[in-house]
This record gives sequence, structure tokens and C-alpha cells, in this order.
Amino acid sequence: MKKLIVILIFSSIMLTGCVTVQPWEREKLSDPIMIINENPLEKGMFEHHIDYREGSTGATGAQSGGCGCG
Amino acid sequence: MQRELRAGAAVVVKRLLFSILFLSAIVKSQDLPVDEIQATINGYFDNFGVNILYPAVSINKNIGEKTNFNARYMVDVISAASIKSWFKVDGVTSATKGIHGGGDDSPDEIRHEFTAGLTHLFGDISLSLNGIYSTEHDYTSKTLAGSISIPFAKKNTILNFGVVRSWDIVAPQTRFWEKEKNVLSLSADLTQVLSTRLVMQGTLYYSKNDGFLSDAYQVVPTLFRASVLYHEPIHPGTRERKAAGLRGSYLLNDVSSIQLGYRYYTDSWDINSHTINILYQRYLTGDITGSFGIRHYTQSKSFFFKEKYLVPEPLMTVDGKLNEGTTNEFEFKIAFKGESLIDVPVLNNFAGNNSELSFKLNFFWRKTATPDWHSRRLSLFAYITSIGYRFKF
Repeated sequence: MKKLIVILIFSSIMLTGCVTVQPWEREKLSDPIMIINENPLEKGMFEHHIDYREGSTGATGAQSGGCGCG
Repeated sequence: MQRELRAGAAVVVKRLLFSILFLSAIVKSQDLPVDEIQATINGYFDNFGVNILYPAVSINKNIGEKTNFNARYMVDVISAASIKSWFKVDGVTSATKGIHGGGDDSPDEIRHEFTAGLTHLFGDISLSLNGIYSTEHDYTSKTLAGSISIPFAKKNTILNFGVVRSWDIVAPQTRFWEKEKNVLSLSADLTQVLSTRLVMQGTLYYSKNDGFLSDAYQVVPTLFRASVLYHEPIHPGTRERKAAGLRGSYLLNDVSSIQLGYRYYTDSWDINSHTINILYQRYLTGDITGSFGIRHYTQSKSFFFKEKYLVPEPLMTVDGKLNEGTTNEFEFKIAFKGESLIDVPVLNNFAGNNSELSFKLNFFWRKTATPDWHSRRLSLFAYITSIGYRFKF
């Protein structure tokens, strides 16, 4: 786990320094099909079911409350 | 020469104007959500006899240039909700088989969830605060969530930090006690534009859970002198959970994209898991989008999980989600922009500019290493359906 975190942080820093995409070149990136977790409401409800049926949680970018007893 | 200079200057001015306009759009789309009303009707149906309907409605509304208000209401109507349907536990160590609940089609549980929050821009930095309140007859949960989002490098890099704190109260109808559960979660996301076609996102997650961390309606059977005794499950009182994820979204061509994701998870109960997911999205026409996704998940069992217990132990559980197992899930979705529905009977009621109607079906298949304690099945099959309507105003 620690190795993975170090790799993630290191690669992120490296990538941050070497990429410059100008704002006018990002038109396609703002398309709904390119956005990660485009619909937070939908994603949150999906995670709500998953939380009750699998032993893992987190790092998915979604959050929901309640016990999820369904 | 002068003509060339003038043409060059015109290009620079055009680019500058376009970049200012587009930058404004990016700020708007990344930092403040658009004004939108969304309504969904969702359903969950599985082979363990659990049926859930959960309609939800939400609104996002900008208040001025720098503040966005959001609110959501959701209700879960659960039939044959739980395992409580078969066991009425006496609250100490044993149980008798009950006959109420789960045996008919009447709802066993109704849960209401309310969410409200604000997002405010401080220059390029956005700050969000959300509150969630969830209530049902045997469970209450209050959650506060805050996050800060900081863009760097012409918004090619966005750093996001989140804190979530929840206070839950568990008061099961088959027990004589009321217990608390508290959760603190921290997360850090880094989203990076890598090219005009590729965006990556890395996430780190940490969570600490304290209090009552088991399912109050499950029971652990043991055999004593040819008779079966039922006990409350006993889980540790704390749990530390950690996860790291990496996701990428790549534009294949003008009409399609693919998203890939991986997550590694580990916790203090010895559960380690790997999750891989793929989502392919495509514009079938200018107004219709289709998508197909696959998710594969595998986990190890917690250190105190056993299929069967001969005698009571200090820690014990038969909870299927703490068992070793794998999950495969398949997702299909089709979304219609409002304009494309004008000539379609019935659906034309949803037609209009800035609206979208979507249909989604997920097939969820979980297989555990040993049979489920209650149904005695190895596999859980579930259909999750969703009809959604979004209107931007």
C-alpha cells in the first residue's frame, strides 16, 4: 500500500510538471463522455448498494449516507 | 508584410478571446455545477428476495456568480429488506424463528435521506460543504462533508481534499439496546490533464470507523447438544480502511471515449481487494449516447469470518460481505437528449431543450467462497434499474 501511494504521488508530481494543454485545446475534454463521474447523484446511489454488498469502500469519488440495509 | 502582421494579430486576439470565453466555461463547469433539476426512479431486485425502489430528486442552483446551492431528497422503499425477516433475536444470545416481515410484498422499511450543501468560489479555489441526514425506524445517520478544490497550471492540474464525518445511531427492533457508530474519512484527489485526449485522476482514501460495526439483524448459529443456538455477531469496535485508486478517461475519436479504473483497498480486518472497471461511451447519433461498462472486484475474507462456528468466540461473523469472493458487474445505459424525443409518443412529454432522459440497467453478480449464512446460496444475482430525467435551466 505504501509503495502504491509513493508511486501515485511521485508520478502525479512528474506528470504535473511536464504537461501544458492550453485552455482552447481542452474543448473535447469538457464533453460529458470524457468527465469521470459525470453524474454524482447516480454514482452515489450505486456506491450505496455496493457498500452493503462488498467489504471495501472509498477512492471512488462518491459518497452516500445511511445504513444501506437494502 | 503589414497584412501578415494584421492577420497574425487577429489570430492572437481571436485565440485570446476564445481562451477567455472557454476558460470561463471551464471554471463554471469544473467549479460550479450548472443549474439543473434531476429526478430518478431506481430499482434493485435480487435472488435473495430483496426488492428496493428508491426515487430521488435533486436540484443545483447558482446563487450569484460564485455560489451554488444543491439539495437532494431520496427515499428507499424496501420490501423483504433483510435477514431480520427470519430471526427474532431475544437480545442476548439466542433467537427464535420469526414469521413477520419478508413473507409478503408489503414494505418492511422506508428510509428518507435529505442532502443540502453549498459550493463557493474564492478566486479559482472552490470550497464545498454538504450535510446529509438519513432516517429510518431503526437507524439514523448524520453526515457532514467538506472539500476544497485547488487548480494549478492553467487548470491542467486540480487538487482536491475532502473530509467526511458521520454520526450514526443503530436501534434495531429485535434488540433492546441502542448503539453508536462514528466514521471519519479523509480523501485526496489529483486530476491531471495529460493531453488533449487524456485525463487521469489519482485518489487516496483513509477512513476510521468506531462503535457498532456489525449488522444488527444477522445472527451466528452454533450447535449445542443437538440444538442450534443463535448469537449476535461480534465485530471489532474499530476499523481502519485505506484505498488508492487511479482512473483515466481517453478520447478514442470524436464520438467515443473509454474510461479505465483500478482501486486497491486494505483494512485492519485483513480485507484486501482489487477493483477494475472499464466504461465505453459513444454518441450513437448527435442526440443519443450509449454506454457499456464492466466492473470486476475480488476480495479476501476478514480475519474473524467463518462459515460455521462450533462454539461462541470473542469475535465472530457470518456476514457475506466479509467473506472471500468476487463480483462481476455489467452496465448498459442509453441517454436521449430532449430534442430527439419530439416525435416519440409518450416520451415526447420529456422533450425539450436542455433536457435528457436516460435508461440504465446493471447486472450484479457476487460469488462468495462459502454459501451465504441465510440463503445458503453461493451467488447473489441482482438487477439494478434506473430511469433518469435531467433538465438544465
